Amino acid sequence: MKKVQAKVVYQDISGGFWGIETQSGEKLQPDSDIPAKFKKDGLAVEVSYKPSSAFSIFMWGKSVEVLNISKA
Amino acid sequence: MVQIVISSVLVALAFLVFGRGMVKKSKGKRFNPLPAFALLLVALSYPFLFGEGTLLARLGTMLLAVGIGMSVDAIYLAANKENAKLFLVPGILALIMAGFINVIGYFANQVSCVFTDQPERVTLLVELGPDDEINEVRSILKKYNADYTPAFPQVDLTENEDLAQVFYVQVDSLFHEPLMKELKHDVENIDHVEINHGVELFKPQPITANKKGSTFLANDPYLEQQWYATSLRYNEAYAFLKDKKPTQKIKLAIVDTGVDGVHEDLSGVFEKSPGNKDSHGHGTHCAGIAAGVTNNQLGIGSLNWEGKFITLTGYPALDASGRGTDRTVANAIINAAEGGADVISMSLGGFHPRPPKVQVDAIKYARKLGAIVIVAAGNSNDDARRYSPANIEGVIVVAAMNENLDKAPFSNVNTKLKMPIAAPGVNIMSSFPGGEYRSFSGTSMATPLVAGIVGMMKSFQPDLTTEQVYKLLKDTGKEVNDSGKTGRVVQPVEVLQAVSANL
Repeated sequence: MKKVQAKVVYQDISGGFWGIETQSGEKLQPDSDIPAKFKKDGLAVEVSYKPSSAFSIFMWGKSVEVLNISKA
Repeated sequence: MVQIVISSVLVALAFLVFGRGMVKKSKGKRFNPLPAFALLLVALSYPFLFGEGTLLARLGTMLLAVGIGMSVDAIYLAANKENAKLFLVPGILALIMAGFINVIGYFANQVSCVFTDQPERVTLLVELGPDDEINEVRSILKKYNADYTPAFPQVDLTENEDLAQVFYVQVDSLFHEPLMKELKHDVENIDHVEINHGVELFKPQPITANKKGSTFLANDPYLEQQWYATSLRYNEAYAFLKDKKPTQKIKLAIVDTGVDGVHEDLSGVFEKSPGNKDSHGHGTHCAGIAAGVTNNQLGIGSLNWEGKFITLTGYPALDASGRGTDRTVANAIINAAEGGADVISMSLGGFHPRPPKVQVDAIKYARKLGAIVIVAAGNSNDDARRYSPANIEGVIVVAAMNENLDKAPFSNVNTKLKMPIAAPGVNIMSSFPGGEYRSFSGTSMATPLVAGIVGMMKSFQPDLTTEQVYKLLKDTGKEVNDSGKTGRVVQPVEVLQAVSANL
């Protein structure tokens, strides 16, 4: 499990989705929708996650299972 | 008015008691003035205790009551042949003062309308968290005397957990800033606060195209808005295709979120298959790009002239959120291949520097059954070698280009893979479930465009292998500035002419 400081980003690709970009620029693709309250472009968050092996139409960043997300 | 009557009656009674007492006293009888004073006190204080309006207005009411009361008493004294002047003069003075005060009050009211009208109300849009209730912030709203009502009562939580939680909050303009500050501070309950700015609404314009004066041979109304149809010279392809017949009608499988098989622009070419519904829309969009019926007076145009060359099928690999697993994707590939797919279009993938074995095996199996597999490079502006199925042996990998035929900023670089090719993938209009049409961007859109071209190629030469198809695409492709990152841009006219020339 990893815990990182990141921001939520909206990507207008494949119809649009919400991803997470860490402070180091790494792109994380949650393997399920993040809660609606975090769906704000640029929102600073702290995320705990572990790698996942999902496939998707988004093909953006590393697929991860978000274990916990909170506003930073 | 009621106050004036009551107060006047009380004043009149009080002075009447005085008057009667004075009459008694003049006749040498005893007179106790205390009840009269008590009654007068009540009468004079009544307008102030129970009256309405400003202090000035209440004073005017009191003087009017005093004037009326004293005048009644003056009449009473005169009737009893007593000295009426004692009440008449102050009564008239009271009435004059009451009138004067009312005149002042009238003008004061006119002035106050300018300066102290009802304070302006500001409307805020306050979005609660999905699990929160308005009661949780009621104390804050009450503190600023704010009113609230659901902004979108027709939407419930199951339909949209954002909109269902939005409230209109109205507050005096003087307090809207501190209220907003306090609400924003309450991050436990409040997701978002903003002023409900006025907007000018324009009637939404449906997407329309020039039916008259179209430069296209095909009559599909949205063709004029498909920039890629112009860029890739679809019209020349139509001129070439419209009198042609396929050697074999090709089956093109969309392995995706499913396909809305009853969409008006797809139903004519959609064949019964497991993915005939689409809860997301992505698969339906891809299907239209690949082989939507063309020259049918409906929707968009592809290269599938009058639906004569390609049959579409759908195989669900991903759920309604657009996500799936190794297993669901591999299953869909296998099912598509066993269903007789000549071309498989896969606008999906994931970060897998080492591709999952089940997918490697599934694609190997599909190729063995004769399918040509076209996959997306990915949308991470990264090396496509780190993404699967792009990095699986034997697939043609498609990068996305923008309107200038430069690499789309999001598109992965595919040129370190064996079979890279490029196609338009930004603002691509195509079919969407429910009879709609929408524009999407992504290597997802570029992939079915190439798959459709490959389907057309195979319709003339069904025995073409993946390697032969790729060589033709590459040899006829257009070299552009970013070809070093994306491969050449497909050129349908040239490649179809090349294929048919070999017949």
